[in-house]
Amino acid sequence: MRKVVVAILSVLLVSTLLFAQGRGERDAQYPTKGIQFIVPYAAGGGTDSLMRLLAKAMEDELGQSVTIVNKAGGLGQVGLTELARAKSDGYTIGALSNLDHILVLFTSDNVSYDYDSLEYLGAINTTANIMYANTKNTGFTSVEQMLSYAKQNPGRLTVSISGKTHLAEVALLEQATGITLTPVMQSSGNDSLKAILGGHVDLAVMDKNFVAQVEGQGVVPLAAFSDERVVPVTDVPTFHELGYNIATETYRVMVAPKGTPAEICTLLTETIKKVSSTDEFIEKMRNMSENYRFLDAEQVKARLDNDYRAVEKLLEEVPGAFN
Amino acid sequence: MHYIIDAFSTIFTPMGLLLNVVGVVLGILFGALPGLNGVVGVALLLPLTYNMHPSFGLIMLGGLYMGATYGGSISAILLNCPGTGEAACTALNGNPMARQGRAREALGYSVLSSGFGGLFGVIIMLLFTPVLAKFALKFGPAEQFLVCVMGLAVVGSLMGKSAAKGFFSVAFGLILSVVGMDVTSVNYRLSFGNMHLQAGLDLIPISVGIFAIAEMLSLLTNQVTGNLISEAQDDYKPMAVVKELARRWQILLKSSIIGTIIGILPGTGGAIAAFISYGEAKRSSTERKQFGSGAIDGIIAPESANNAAVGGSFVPLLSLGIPGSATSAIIFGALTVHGMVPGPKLFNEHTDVVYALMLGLLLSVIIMVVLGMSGTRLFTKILKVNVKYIIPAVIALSIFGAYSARNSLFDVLVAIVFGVIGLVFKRARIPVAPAVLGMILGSMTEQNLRQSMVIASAKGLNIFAYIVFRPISIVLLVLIGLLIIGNLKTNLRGDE
Repeated sequence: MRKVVVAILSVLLVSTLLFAQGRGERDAQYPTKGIQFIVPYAAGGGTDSLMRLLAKAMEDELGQSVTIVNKAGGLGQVGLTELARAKSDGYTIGALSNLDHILVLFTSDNVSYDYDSLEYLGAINTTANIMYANTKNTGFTSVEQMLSYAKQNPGRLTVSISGKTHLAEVALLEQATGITLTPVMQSSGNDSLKAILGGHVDLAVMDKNFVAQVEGQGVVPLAAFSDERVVPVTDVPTFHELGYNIATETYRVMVAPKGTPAEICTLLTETIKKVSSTDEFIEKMRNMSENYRFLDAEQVKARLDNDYRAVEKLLEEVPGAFN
Repeated sequence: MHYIIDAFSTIFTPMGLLLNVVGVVLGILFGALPGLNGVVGVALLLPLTYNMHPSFGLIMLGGLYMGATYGGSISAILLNCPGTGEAACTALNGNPMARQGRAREALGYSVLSSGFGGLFGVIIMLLFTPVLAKFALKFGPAEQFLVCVMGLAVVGSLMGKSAAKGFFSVAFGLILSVVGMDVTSVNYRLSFGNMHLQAGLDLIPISVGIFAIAEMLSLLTNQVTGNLISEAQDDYKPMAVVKELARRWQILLKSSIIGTIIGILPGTGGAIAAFISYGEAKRSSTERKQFGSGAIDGIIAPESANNAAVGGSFVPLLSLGIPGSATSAIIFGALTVHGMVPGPKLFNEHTDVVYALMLGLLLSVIIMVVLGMSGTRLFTKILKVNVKYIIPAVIALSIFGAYSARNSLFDVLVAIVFGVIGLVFKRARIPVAPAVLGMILGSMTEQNLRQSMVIASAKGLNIFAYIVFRPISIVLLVLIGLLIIGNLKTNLRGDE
């Protein structure tokens, strides 16, 4: 029996190779075969969940399979390296997270691609990070209380963060307010959540999705790192409206390797727009606490350019922001 | 109360039952195939659940998780190829037992103790989730660091005759865990400018290489022909196995408690649970001299612990929204896609789904035990297969598994290189289990220590005082002391 199972599996494995053999020429009616969709983050994360939803919808629209392939590591660098050097025939596409992408370009070693190695197809969501405080330990319920304590006690307040985006946000906050915080780096947002719920740190920078999770547990959102209030947590003020010009925003961008034919890029952008704008899709996104916002290729490029310049400026003014 | 009745009617619908069985069967298969595991299985099945009722989706994924945790022991026992860290300890005694012609007996111990542990963990989760979640939150970086140290202290139970070789092996694992991005300083270490190394070494290709591929290379180089085990004499009596287990209820209970607690702690998981309970079993067992050559306690301790950790890992997930293990992190995604926010409100707002998951897991355990017990004859048939078929099949599956963990060809290379390293270890009689232990615990130990240091210095405290002067820390330090003393005693007496 086991032999049979092994034999069947072997046959299945080998047979996948048949499908791996791509067609040499690009057919007029793209797509004529399955599309590989590289997600440069681990399965189960925010980007992964959203892209799986999108891939499923694109599959139904295009009539070909759209297979998610997770290539996690180095803030997306591993997956994007693979994507940037993939064949630009439209059969390998992917997604990235705006700030991670830009921060890798500025701060990582041996990045084999650059800002122009990708065609930016569009974006479907927008989200922002929020500064949270453990009220039980610190008594903070507003940004002002936090700032006045931090000014009198430089470096005393610990803040859980996960990833370079949060590090940039803390650096921007310190730069704008003149305070000094002690960042405690965690491996994931869930680790940050645990640290602040348990009172092991005073503050945390986490996604807006954690607002619902911390409710009633002695942890409150102080302010959002965005220029507009974040749906659905519109009662949380933004740093921007409190007078501090620190607006970072997070959105996932669908991309293809440089040189993918323009008509294929347009078709993909149109497909993404079409499948993502249905009520059903937006409802599913809302269930995942994702805010729908479609940006086409031009709009998304303009946004990215802005972010690029902001990071460039931060590094000019505070060269050690990421060390 | 009516929620429980509703949940029962959900899990016993034909669809609920079918999905549960499908989940468990796939889980056992994923667990048993070297290189595949519960994480991969749950990730693959996750999209299928998007269009199901959330209760059904969770029943299937829960069954898969439970089955996969047990399934790893099958290949560990029969082929000495544990695909994952969870089954690494089981191989140490399970395979010697199989080689003595007691394969079915070993499989019986494994599935029954998995079942016991699984039930224990789920029942604890059912009854005490809110209380235990509060307890889990008390584990900050200081306590987590000490748990890791406790895990590392288990190395004493894994090292066999030579302490030097054991320490070499664990140090090797610790160094491997450093490769890649240092989470605390966000800088690369030991990556030599290589992009793949910058992403860090993944545990799956390494354990696949060092266990499964190395074992096959060893068979090849020893020029083994014919069957793996010459004559599988079998006077296997299921009732005798049950009786034997009942006699060892203390070790089962103790390991299940350890497994549940470790499972509850976020970021840990079944592998660490198995290692720690194996260490504790060896310290306290009356048959400690047989450990490494087919001790029954050496199978039932890690097997009950890793399945107990399944239930445990749902405790922080359901009550706080913090997954307790890598697999439950993906199951988190199955909840959120239906708009359910894991956390304190989940119990009130989606009581039906929570109970369906919990009671579904209970049923999964029962399905798993039934399948596992009736499958022992079937599983052991592989021992009658000529090794010349087994070797290529296992290597092919291992390579597939190594690739599928991160879809990376580099990981295939890693698996092959570690296959050779594993062979060298075997030849030099260096135990490999400590290396895997070091690899699993290395970065976790370091990160928690460094977080403790950052927090202590921000608060103007001495790092030593920060770690030690906490109620849980003191208990953990006592346990660590006991483990070390136990190991020293055995080693000094030389009765390994």
